Amino acid sequence: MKSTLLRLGVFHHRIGVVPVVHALLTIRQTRRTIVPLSSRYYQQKRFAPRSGMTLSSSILRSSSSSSSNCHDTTTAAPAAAAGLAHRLDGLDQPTVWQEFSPLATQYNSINLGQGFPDWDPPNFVVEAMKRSIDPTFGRNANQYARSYAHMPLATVLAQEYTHRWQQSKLPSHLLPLDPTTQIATATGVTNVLYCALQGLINPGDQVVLLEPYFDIYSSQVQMAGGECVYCPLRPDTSAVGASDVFTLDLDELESKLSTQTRVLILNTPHNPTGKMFNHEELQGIANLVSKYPQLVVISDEVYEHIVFDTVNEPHLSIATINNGQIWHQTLTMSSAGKTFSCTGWKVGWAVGPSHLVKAVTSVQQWCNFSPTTPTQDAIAQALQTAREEPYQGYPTYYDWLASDYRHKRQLLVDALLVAGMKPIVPNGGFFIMADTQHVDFPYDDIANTQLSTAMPGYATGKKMPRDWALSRWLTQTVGVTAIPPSAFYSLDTVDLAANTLRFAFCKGESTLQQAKQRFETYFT
Amino acid sequence: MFQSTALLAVICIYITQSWSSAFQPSSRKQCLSRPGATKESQLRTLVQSVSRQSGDDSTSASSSADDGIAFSPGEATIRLGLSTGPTVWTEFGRIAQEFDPVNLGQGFPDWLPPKFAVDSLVEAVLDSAQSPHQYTRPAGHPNLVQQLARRYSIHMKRDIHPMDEIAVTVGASQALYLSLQTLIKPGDEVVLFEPFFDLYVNQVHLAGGTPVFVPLYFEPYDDQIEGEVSGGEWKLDRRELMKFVSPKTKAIILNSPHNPTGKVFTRSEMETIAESLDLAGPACVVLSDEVYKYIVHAPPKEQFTSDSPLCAGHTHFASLPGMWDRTITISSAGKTFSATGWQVGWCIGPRRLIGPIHQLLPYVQFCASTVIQEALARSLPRADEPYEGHSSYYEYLKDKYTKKRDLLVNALTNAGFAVPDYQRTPGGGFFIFARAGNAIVDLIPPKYLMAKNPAAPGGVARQDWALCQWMAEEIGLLCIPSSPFFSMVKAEEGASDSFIRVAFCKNDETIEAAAKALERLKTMEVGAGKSSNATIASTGDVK
Repeated sequence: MKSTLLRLGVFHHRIGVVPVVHALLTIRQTRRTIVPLSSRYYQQKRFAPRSGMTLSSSILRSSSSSSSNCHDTTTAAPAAAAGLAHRLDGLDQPTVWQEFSPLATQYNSINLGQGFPDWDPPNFVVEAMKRSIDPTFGRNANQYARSYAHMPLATVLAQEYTHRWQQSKLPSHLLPLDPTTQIATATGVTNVLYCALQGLINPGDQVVLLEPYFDIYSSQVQMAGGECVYCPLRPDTSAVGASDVFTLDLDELESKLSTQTRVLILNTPHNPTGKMFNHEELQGIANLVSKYPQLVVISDEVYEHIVFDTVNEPHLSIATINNGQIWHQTLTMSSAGKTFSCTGWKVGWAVGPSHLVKAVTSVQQWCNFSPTTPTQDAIAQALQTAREEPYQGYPTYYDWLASDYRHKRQLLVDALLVAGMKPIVPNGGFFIMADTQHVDFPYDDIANTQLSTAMPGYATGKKMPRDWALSRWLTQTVGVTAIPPSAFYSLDTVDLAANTLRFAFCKGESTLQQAKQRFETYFT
Repeated sequence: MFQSTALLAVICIYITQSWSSAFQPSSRKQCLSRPGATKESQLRTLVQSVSRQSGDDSTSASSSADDGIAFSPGEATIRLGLSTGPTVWTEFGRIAQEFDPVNLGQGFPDWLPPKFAVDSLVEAVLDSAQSPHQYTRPAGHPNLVQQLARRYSIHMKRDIHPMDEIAVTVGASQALYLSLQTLIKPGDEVVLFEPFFDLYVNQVHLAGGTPVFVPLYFEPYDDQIEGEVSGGEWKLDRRELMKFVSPKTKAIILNSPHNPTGKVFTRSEMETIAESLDLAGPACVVLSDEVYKYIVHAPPKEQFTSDSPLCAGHTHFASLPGMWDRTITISSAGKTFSATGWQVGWCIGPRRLIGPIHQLLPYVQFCASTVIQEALARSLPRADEPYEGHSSYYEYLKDKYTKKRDLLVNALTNAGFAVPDYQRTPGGGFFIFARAGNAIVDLIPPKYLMAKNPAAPGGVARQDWALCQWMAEEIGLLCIPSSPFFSMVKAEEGASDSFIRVAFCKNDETIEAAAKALERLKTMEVGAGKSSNATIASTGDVK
């Protein structure tokens, strides 16, 4: 068995998952000598001990020190054939995504869960791809790209960020950006982030995540051998708008930072809340970060072009804050997927000082060899068109995009109000967090009768979180599916999610109207 | 051990040569005085220095203005060690740029994919009914895994389950990377046949494993004629293999057809590998990299009933008795469809081996590019149809490569290189592992031989490297030296000295231009290149 999987397995415990992973949980907990809880749980209810446990017991035997008592608890499981497979059996429903997408299908529910658009990329993007490969255009982007980034794309990105960061007053000695050493591309931001964390983290290093966080972060940290440290955004219920409702307590953040902290992952505009970090907050973060020279900020900015008030609340990159105060400590990441409605093309990038970009490239070249060429080549063209040419009556494509999403946001806000929810209106991105405390539904019935292996607390026999139960009920009874945000919190703070749900509005107008109709049918 | 030693030695050379700034002198001294030490902390600092120094790019080694700051490497980078420094690829990439030789170096075709493949991609892009533009299933786009299952069920003569027994990855490189990531834990051993595709070694390091090199040995046809060298065959010595496989072995990487030698492993060699698994534990898996399987240009004489009717001359290792359960079969679209940039690869195997890969995929990238996967799914059935006078595209491809191979064989033989006799020796892939005759070796100007070069294995340009560098800079033909495909020990024994890797996945005009450049070697006299600034105004007439 491989350490990557072990690390990943440990992660899964956070959002529950399946028995086999509980075996790993057993290991983790026994190391902390909290043996009885999980092992008793195994033996008492929910499922018969499986072979996974047997494997875990063999791991425990071979693993050192603290295993004397856990040995006893795990040998209660029947012996079964050893091997990798059993430990990983049954992982077909391991995450919130794999629970709610099939559930939505099963109940023919309108799926406002997963965050990808249900329309085609704009025509100029599709045409760009055609030019990349159709021989009549002579680009012929069919062979290996330069490993660190397809050069035409790196060149456009360097120009793009140089231009943008000049306007953000990044000091001129840091510009222009060098496309050969300060840009890395990979298979979407997920892959950029994976490579960066693999390249930066040593076992035991801490990574600070602001809760709620995109759930993929924590698993990637675990795979790299790092330890997640969580800092929740605290809700200010008196405020209006996601940016102000979800507040960052800088003192709390400071308390989470130490010389052990290697990475802070920032995400603005923020998934799932729609918060955009303002100048003051970013300044505060930069001041803290600059106290720790070993600390790297990874700034995930994939929703940078889906912002609703570019005049009063423009997108800000922390790399540029305070004249580039922490530019040397920041990797800025973004991708084409959200901006050009082509999440399946998987083109993402990192921009920053070469010593950090190298963390990405040095892993990426062995993980992928090189990212896909045709998609990179098409995005290189699309980025230029999007910035330079008018689109559908708007000065640029980006203006059109923001306007289109603003309209969709309003449709979903209206729909949620019908359902008696209070939408926390997002300032960026394409999700709405709704306050659901006034929605009346049979919480206890759902929690007591339905089984979810993916929910937080499953491993420890906790009651199904309210948001999880509500999302199941909404899917089954009302016919609209959302994602329960407790999937985006650690166990310690998961209660913060109880009265919220995340709805996506990256959906066609008719889909959003249908959702509203279903709410009307049920709630009015 | 020898690896770490060599690695540190190279780092030391590198630092003494070129280090100039903020590196701490104490660590430097440590390194110089204790080249055998492998303490992690030392390695960390050393890697840090090397990674700062290396021009990290095949197109530019420009120093960036942004940095006074050292890259502080994480676990993965430390495991890679020297691999973040310059490599044969960055060095010969630089030479290619600077001297503009005819390039038979890197292994990608310089022609378009077949029209049906390009059409498939264009059609997929424009198909707004299917709209393959958003995320797809992380384990593999359903349309593609269905197609792959169809083909592999025929290859393997068993029903391959599209959802459970196939994982789609970003090229075969990632298929191998993820296989190793799921199988290997720190300290596990991975057997590589030497010479090996250099990517393997770094991927093994990244997984925390230890590469163990099992040498293939070169058996010349006839080296009796004085002053001449002959072609020959690379063979697997059963005793060597059995010597290195042990319960510590968690994976054996097999690559047939083989890069860089072009060797096609014989049935009995594959059976030997299967037998060697008895010496390893039950957890040991064969990773069978078969990306060149449709380019078996010199098929073995003997055919086996278990071989796939769709893939003449190639034996899928997993089709050997009992081997399905012990094998992850790895392949990709790049070589077959002359579309190396599409980067769609896959793992095929029993669910106990594929399941863990499925588990990692969502976190490594969520999914491989949907639109490219869809294009490949559409291409696969079209490749079975008659193509340009051949019964299928695969037949056409093999024929095309056979002709190119013959062009290159003639050019190399004519210039005094010994190459395999493909009437006698099976061959596949698109490289010739050519053996330099004595007459050619004598021509290499001394300034190239044993010159210090941080990109070369061991930090010095051995004969194969010197020959390739000289030819690229002064003769106008770029080939790849063989030493980077060998372990340091074997290279230092001289196993790689006579061999260079020459690619024939190039247009006929390119190969003919290469032949012309090679002609020069015949007319040169020993010592002709010795004048130190004899940069022949080279390539204008041959390119």
